[in-house]
Amino acid sequence: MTRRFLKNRLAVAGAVLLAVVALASVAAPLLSRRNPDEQRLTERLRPPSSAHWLGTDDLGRDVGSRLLHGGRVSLRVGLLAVLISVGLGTLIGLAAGYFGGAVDGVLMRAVDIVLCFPTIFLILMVIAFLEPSLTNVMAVIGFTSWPGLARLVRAETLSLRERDFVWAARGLGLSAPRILFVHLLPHLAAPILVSATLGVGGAILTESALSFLGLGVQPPAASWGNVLANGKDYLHVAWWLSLFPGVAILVTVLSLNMLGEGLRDVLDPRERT
Amino acid sequence: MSLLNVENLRVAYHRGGVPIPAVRGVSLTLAPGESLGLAGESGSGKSTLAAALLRLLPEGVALAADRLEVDGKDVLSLHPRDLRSLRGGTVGMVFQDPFSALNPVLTVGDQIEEVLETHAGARDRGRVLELLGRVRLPDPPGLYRAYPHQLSGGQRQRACLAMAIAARPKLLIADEPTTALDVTVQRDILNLLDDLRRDLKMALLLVTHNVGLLVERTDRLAVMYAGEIVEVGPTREVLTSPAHPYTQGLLRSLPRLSRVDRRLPALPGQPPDPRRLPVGCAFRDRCSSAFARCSEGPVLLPVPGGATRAACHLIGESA
Amino acid sequence: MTAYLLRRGALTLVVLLGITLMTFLVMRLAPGGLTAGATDLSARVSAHEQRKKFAAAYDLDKPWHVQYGRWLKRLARLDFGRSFKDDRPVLDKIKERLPNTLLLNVLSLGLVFLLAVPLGVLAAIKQNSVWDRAVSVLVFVGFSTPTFWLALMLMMLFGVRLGWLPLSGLHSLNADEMSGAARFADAARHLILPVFISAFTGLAGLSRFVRNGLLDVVRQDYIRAARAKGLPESRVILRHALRNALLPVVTILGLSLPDLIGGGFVFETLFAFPGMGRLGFDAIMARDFPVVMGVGTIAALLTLAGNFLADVAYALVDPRVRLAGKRP
Repeated sequence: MTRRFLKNRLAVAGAVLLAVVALASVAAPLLSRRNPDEQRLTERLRPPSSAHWLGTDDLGRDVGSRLLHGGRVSLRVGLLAVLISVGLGTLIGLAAGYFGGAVDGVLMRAVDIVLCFPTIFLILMVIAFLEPSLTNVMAVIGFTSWPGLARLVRAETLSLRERDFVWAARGLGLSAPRILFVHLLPHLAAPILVSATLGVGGAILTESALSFLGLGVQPPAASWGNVLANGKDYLHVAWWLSLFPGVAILVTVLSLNMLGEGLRDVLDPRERT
Repeated sequence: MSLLNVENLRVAYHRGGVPIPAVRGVSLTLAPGESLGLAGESGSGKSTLAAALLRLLPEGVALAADRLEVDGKDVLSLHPRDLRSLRGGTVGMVFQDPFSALNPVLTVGDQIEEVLETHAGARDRGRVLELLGRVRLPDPPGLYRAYPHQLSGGQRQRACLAMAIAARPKLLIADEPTTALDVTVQRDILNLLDDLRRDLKMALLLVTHNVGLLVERTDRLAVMYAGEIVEVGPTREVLTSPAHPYTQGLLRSLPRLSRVDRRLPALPGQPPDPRRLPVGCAFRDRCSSAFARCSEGPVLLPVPGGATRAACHLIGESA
Repeated sequence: MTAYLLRRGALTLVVLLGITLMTFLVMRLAPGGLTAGATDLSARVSAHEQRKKFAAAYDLDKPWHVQYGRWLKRLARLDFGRSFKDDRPVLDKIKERLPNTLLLNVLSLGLVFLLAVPLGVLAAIKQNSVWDRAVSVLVFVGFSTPTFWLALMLMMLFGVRLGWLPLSGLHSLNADEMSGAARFADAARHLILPVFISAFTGLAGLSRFVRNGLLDVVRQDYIRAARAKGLPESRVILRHALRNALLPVVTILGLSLPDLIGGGFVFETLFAFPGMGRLGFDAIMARDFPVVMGVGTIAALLTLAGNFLADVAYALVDPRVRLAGKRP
């Protein structure tokens, strides 16, 4: 399996890129040459230079440092939000797929209903009515992105349910939770992992959109989204404020997408040529 | 001039860099109006051979031959336009699964008319209806408008036959045409095949794993094993006095009404893995008459133009 | 086909009911939120005012089932009350903006379809070639780009640096003075960037879908049979393969509707586009609750309608569904 992974160039490239981003974020305090919150009003809106590799923002803060620290936020939000959505989605999908009948009907109607509302709208509504904070953002993203995974898990469960090993387990009188978690879940690990990886990318995109709108991470804390929000106001004069945060988001999400798609190829037994 | 002239045809698949031979040096001929049965078990390469004749193999499959001539034309070097004229025009083909051979989103009539449009230059509804009647389908106008999923298995296969003969081909290749059908329908389809052949004076290459179907339907019979033709000759002769041990074993294992209460004698073992073929005769591991010579070097395969020949040292050289 | 549509229709109704329930729940829980986050006195006072208005508008003093019944009746009339901000009926405000958003979305879907299908076909026919890889790259980048950032970049490039395209709104300030044709061209220029941004991610998704779908179809037996009939390759691909591969595209387009509408909330604001998304966003920011409810419900209804239409279209297009069970 590891060999197959290493052979898949997409997965490896994605993993390497992601590792770079993750390491940079984790090591942010070491790598930043300046304090991301330090304002130097004499150096407002300076373009990239040897002193400030990515320029400064309207309060004289070093953009590079802010972006490095912003990475920590984004990655954290992404991971935790996906944990919630994977947890919820897997449980619901398993239940719907395994028990079928009325349970399935009700759960899937719930999925349909949630999916009808534009996710952004739901999130905006919730955040607006609660306080914008990191925890709220994580929770909200997590609680609005489980339907997609639930459908996927349900479909897989439905097909696995008819396999012999499930019949055997039921014949042995094993309890439903045991069958679900010990016997079925390992088979679902692959698609869930792929979905989770791609989901982190999506969560990062959502979080940065929220921060951009002022509903996510609040200044003075740095997030890629809110640095971009800053950039929007100075579009005419400071291109670096708008370009670099976006590139950071793009590269990170790209690495996650590449890794996710690569994993899908590696883990899928029916590989497409 | 023979309609089909094949010498040393080889087909190999490539999986992960390793070539897997499916057809290993097949030679055969077919005269106009003649019918040849090609019998063999699953994996013997017979369907691959049939597809190879018109270069209908999937991507990445290696096809080579010393000679591959259909109606006098060298198929391997044919210009795409001429190849297309051959396909459907000079040679009609019918496949095993009539359901998957028909496009689900186009009507039956449309799909038959396409053949006319391509080879006769114009669409002709009347001719399509005539063809539908010829393959003994009831209610041609209704079937003309129908979609494949609305037809039964037998009806679909008849429709596929109509497609194959629409341009009056000189040769019809039928790759297991009845395998996917109910037993009761099989005979009807085969009888239809016979009649069409006679009316249109077509040659026929009938590929099947069921040797019993070939009795009294084909002039000659070729038996395939592990990618090679191990025996070929007039059908009657091959069936009554088979020369190759494989053919003998195959015929012995056919259920017969006269031996109802006896155990069916089956050939021991399995066909060899194409990736690990034994040196010498491919059948030797299962052959009760194998001797030392069978493990040394290749066995001479039967060449076209002769009487019954079998690829077996017991017969002697095919000189 | 009727059986299929009836089934889909019934499911749609159930979901519709669920939407009304969900909005009802939000409505009941929200008042707490109206005061949460209010830290200073003036904000508290205004929040209190709002709560009073709110309670009056939504009969919060009546029992539960009565509330829901009234809510359903009002939904049937699409009566969402009056905006807290300017006291105009919510429905009027939505009616003003909705056509613009619909225009944007329809154009966007059209663009996605027109570009993605040829790209997908190209990638599939020339599998593993330079073209295929290029489309692959496009797909990945398309999925990874934050649309609001892309909007900013394009605004900067085309609007600020090159000055080719306008940066906001649907009409220029002097639109009323223009002739009919000039106004049309003016509106078109305003639409270029928003439509493109809106279509970007959808484009990535659909071209990959078309590519994979076509690759699957091309492996089917009927494609080999079509070649065996001597049909020219262009015909095999365009007539036989593509028709089958495109069947699910109809449904995909319908399913991408919520994302389109949702995306509108963000970039309509960016472009100051007079659409429903921006209305909703401003309303959320201003805690203008009736408008929020109105926009949310309408958006959900639109999505539902879009999905249902997609189902109908699929039933019409696939003969296996359209003529299920009918013998000739």
